[in-house]
Amino acid sequence: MVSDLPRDEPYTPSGDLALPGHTYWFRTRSIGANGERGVWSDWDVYQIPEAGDQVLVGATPDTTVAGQVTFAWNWTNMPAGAQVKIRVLRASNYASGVWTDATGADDLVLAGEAVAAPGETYHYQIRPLDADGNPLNGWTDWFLYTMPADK
Amino acid sequence: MKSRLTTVVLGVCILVSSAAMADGWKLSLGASYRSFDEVDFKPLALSSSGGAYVNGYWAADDDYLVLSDTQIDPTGWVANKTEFWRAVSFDQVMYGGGSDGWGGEPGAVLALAKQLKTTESGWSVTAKASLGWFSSDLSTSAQASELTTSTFVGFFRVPSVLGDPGTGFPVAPVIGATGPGLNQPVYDSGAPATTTAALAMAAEMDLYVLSLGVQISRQMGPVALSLEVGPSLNLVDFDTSVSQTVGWTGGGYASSEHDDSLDVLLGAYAAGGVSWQFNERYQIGIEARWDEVFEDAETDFAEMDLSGFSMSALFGVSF
Repeated sequence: MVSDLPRDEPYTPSGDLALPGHTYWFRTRSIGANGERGVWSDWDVYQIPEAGDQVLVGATPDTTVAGQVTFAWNWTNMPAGAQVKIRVLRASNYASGVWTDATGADDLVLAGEAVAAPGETYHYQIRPLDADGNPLNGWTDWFLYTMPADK
Repeated sequence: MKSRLTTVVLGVCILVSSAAMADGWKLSLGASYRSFDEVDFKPLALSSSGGAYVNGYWAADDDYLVLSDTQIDPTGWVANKTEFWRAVSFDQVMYGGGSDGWGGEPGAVLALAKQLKTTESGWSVTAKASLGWFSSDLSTSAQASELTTSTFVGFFRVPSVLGDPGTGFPVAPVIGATGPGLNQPVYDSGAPATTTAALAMAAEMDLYVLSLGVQISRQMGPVALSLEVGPSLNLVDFDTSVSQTVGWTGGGYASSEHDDSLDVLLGAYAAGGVSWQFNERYQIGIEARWDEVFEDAETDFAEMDLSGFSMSALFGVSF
């Protein structure tokens, strides 16, 4: 929801609302000076074309150390200062959390039950951010890793 | 804040009373009734702690809180490409602002006058300082028609490889760290709200009016007619609060906030009166007065124009 747009100025979606290769549906309504809201318009659509220089990031999880998982980032067209956001979901209870790696050039180490319980399976997805934390692309599909069971 | 203001005002009263002990002065004390404009309560968004919705918040990706089961789609999860999605709604309640008034309020007036010049024909010019005090309380509530409710929908998401999690999952209250990922609620469904919301407002005001004016009067036997004008300083302590009550099936909460301001605002006044000198030393009179205050008193929740009309009945003693 984008609100309080000036009446006489164009609006240009950016960031999450203008990711390459994505299709967006939108509709609008008026808001009077007294806060009264008008009726929504019909839905319309815009599409952001794929870009050849799209920023992509992948991850390789390393589960060899008990109690922690280390993600190594695999970049395509990584801009300077880029960051990575990762969402990890625990399969047994669906609990999820999001972490941001402010230095996308290095590995990220996460530890604890939420991400590395013995014998537990986790699903994760990631997305690239620019140096200011703005999304450069959407979330990836879900990937999987399983922590070794206690010996 | 109020105690400091009272100390200042009492100090002024003592100075005025002390000055009246000198010859040629007149001290008056009386009751007043002043009309006030309505209090304009500002628009605001009702919200739970931490966010823009009355029944939860969504801040960034998985930083969210869903407070009630009634927000979660009872029909369950739906397969969506490589995930299962379940809709979750958040109510947003906006108050568009409104006005309510306290009409008029009684107060007290203390005045000190010094006659500067008189003519044989009965005209006189007098310098006059006065202090007025008014206090008011107002409690009101937003009408249902002044509250606008929107329902925004986001989606819980889990990988489809996990299978359908079932209608029993998740159970509210659910927060990001304990629940599945949740898309930002951006879609205003237009569906009925799952909450009830009410908003109550209150305002309290103490106003002290310090005036310094010039009075022209005409004595006709024991009766005198007078006109006066001058600047004024208005010390106002304006305290406002808003309280919201939100409810849903089996739950809800109430919360309140307040904001106050202590301002000194410039103004001017004009007054006309008639008095009757019933012996050498004492007199009674009535006065009609308009006060124009050049700025509004304002807090985070409300503002009000302090200009107003007043009527006073005064008892005067000459020294």
